[in-house]
Amino acid sequence: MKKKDKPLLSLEGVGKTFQTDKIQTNALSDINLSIYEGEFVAIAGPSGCGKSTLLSILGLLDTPTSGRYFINEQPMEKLDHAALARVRNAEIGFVFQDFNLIGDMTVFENVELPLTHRPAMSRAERKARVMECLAVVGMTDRAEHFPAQLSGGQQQRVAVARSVVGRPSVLLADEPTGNLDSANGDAVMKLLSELNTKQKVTICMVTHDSRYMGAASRAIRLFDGKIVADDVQVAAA
Amino acid sequence: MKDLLRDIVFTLRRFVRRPGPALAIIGTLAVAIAANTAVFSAFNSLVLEKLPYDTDGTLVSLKQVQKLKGTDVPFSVKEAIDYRDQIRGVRDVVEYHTMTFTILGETESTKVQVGVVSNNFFSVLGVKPLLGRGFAPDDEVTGAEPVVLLSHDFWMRQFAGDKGIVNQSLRMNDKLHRVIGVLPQYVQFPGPNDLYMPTIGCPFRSSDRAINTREIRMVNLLGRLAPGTGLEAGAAEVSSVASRIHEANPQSYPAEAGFGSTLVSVQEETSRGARPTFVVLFAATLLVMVLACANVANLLVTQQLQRRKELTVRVAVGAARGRIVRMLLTESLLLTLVGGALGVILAHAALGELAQFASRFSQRATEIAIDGRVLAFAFGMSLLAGLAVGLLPALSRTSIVTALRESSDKSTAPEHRQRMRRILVASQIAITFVLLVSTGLMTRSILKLQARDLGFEPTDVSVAVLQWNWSKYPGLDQQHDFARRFEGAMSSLPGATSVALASSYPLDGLSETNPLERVDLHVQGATNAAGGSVTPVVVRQISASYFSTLHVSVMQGRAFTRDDDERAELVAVVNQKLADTYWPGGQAVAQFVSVDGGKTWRRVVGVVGNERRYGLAEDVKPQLYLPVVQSLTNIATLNALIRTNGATAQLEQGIRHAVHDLDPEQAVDKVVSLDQLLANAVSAPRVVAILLGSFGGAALLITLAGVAGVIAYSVSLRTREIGIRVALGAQRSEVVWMILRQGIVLTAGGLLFGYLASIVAGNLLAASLYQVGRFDLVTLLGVTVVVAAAAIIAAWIPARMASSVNPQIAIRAL
Repeated sequence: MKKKDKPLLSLEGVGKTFQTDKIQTNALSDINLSIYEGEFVAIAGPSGCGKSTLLSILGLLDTPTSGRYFINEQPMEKLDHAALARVRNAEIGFVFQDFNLIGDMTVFENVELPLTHRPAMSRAERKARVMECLAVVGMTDRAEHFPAQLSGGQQQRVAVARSVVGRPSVLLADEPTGNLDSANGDAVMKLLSELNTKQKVTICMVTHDSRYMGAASRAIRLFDGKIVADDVQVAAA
Repeated sequence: MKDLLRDIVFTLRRFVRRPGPALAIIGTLAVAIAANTAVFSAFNSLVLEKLPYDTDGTLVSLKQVQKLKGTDVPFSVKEAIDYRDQIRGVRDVVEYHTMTFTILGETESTKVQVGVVSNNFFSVLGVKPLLGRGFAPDDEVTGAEPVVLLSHDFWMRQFAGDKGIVNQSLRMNDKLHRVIGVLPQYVQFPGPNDLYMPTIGCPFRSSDRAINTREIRMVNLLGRLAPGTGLEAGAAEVSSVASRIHEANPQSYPAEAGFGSTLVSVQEETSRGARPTFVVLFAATLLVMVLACANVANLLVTQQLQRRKELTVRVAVGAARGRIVRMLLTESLLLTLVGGALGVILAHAALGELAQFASRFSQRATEIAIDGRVLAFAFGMSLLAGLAVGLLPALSRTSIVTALRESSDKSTAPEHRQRMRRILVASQIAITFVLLVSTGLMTRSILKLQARDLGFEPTDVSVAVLQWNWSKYPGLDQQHDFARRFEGAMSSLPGATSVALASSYPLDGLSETNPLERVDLHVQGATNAAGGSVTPVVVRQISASYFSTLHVSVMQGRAFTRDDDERAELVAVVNQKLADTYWPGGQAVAQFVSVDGGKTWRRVVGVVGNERRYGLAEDVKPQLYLPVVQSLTNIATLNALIRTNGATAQLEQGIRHAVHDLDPEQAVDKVVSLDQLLANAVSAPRVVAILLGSFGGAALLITLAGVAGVIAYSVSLRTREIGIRVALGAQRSEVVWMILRQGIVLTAGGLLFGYLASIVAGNLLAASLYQVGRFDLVTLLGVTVVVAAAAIIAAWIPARMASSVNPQIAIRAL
């Protein structure tokens, strides 16, 4: 843990309110949270507690209604759409519950996708990076396959490769094992753990599954849009 | 650029992997762009494109009007010389008129149309001969050798393109004419001719009588605006010169006749006929294009609903909004450009049919082609369509998180997307309504036309048209003698039951303002308020059996008899309209009229029913009939109207043989049937109605698919809700009504916009409608019922399916 260091991600008094017709719903209230480099943070809580909303704000897919959000101490609220897209591309990797691979792209192209938004990167470097990541997740031999030709577990491994290919500061995973059987779920969790421990990738994961909470170095529990527990699990890490 | 290539490759791969939607989009756009390109190519050639010999827009036509006759009148030779000498703003004023000659062959005589022109006519048009030489000033002097130029078509048709024809001689009427050249293939103006000769070659134009009087008006004048002179300034000068000529020659231009002259642009004159029809068709095809775009946009929105995850992922990994929009635009542009290319190919294939249709409105129909401007139009239209159908869904204001939620939360319907689809389908309903209302208006107009009483019975009547061999029949005696023999010969044809002669015939294409058809009528004993003041009326010279042959009823008095010949008292028959105009009390018979300014008077011996002589849409005109053998002036054309017992297979051949037997030097111009002329009279509006109907029918099908699609999609999104409702006790009929209500609202919205848009359509069509208002209630209500019923049926099908949802399965499935 590097809590003495400057935080990688930092939320200060963040709130999020949704307005539907005349009904106002507070999805998040006064969230204060710092995530440091190298942490593996698990976010848990019952349905509707605000987990996904929190992850969306952390991933710059949504903006808070109140409070401030910093990445590497840089405030995010003043950035326009294009700048936010650049930050997402450079600093954040996503793993979704239902993989979200693009069906008309090969495995290679899916993994390459974040790098295509980096015009300065050469084709050769892109290729090297993609193949490196595919090797990490054990999918090199499937590079030219389409997602439909892969199993669910394989698809999620490809999705993990895509999330790290851009060497982001943080990997945000939204129930990455939710659509997998236990064997594949275990394999994906092992992969994430290895990324965290061996490659020092910072991970922030939303999960329902208590079995996988233990894989994280820190567990945050949400209830009714508020953080109700923030535990460091040194042993597990 | 790399991104663009990547997008193109990705798009092509998607097309290959899932060709169905792409083919549907390309096909829809190809048909719409083909219709637009084809109609635009005609509009371009007939209306927009400069005449090949008027690229600078300086070619003008001088017009002389006579207000009393309400018609344009040609110029006399003296007038032509006056205008040529006095106008400074128009240079190179040249003459043009046409004549019929007969080329005498060994076995059959051939009638040819000859353009009689000034020697510099072709240099003014900028046309150089393909072979030989053009006319020179020496060809136009008295005593010059008779020479002719052949048109390209005539050269190919008659002489099979023989280059040795130059310097050969043709025997035309009573003279040998030397061929001095062949013209290139070009769109002849003012009209197509077989040959051309200098003015001196026309015996009438070059006669002392024609040269020395202002009253024999037979030539048209063309010229070029002088540099720096605009059309308005030129017209003002022509008008001013006309005033000077009139003041100097008051006896030739009586004030009450209302003579005046002006200048019109030839470009404007040639495009006038085609413009209204093609504006309507162009508007209709544009509507089809909008409808197709709406349909394609709808398909793309549906596709994007299925691609929400993909787009969300792209955004999540760092694609900016502009990048996503660019990618979607690349896809839509690729589709529309392929559709556009196919559309151009389809349009090219349809040009032949289109030119045939356009020939009803313009002599320039043969010019219709797909040129650079048409290609640019098709490309521009494809580009616009691509931008429109691509931007509409691409610029949808959905936030990433909403899209994420939509892609992960199956219970949430993407309402904003549905709203866009509903708007698109409502606009399709509106467009379909407008197209069908336009079709309805045109159809009702045609039905009203066809239901009109013609005043004669055209069935089984054929017309043999003869242009006089004027050198053989120069005088009245010769003409009358030939007319009698001609009528007798026609009566002897197999199958002929009744034959009549006439100087013109119904629906022959002559206009009521044609000077040959009009006489100034003087009336004695008129009882109308105007006291029988001199008025121009339509005149026709006929033989005794004309009324019985055409089944025109005799209302009062009698028809002509064979005894009404050149030795008998001069007589006339009037139609009911003329009788009612001058003798409202019904006392026309035994009154006297004059057609030669009172020099001779004719007794009115009968009143006959009104004939619609000029066309179905025309109002009946006051008309005077004279016995053909009592005509006091030469008749230009002699027509035999032959009623048969229906056996017409060999009729034309029989007519030609019979005339050849009468006189080998007299050619038959053509043989036509009145039935065919009647069909032709409504063929143009009928084709317009068929085209509009086709567009409307296609639009209806596309729209119904759109309505069904929107409702079906809505049902798919509400399956869980429907399951819950059914589980809670909702009746099937309640579920059907709940879904159907969406279709009804959609249709009502579309119809409302359709009503507003049909106001514009009605105004556009107004000029083409006959006895049908532009806001015809019957049409509006009829189309409303059709569109509403069809749309509700289209909505009912998915609604009915929704009512069969098994609640247990529906709830569990989600």
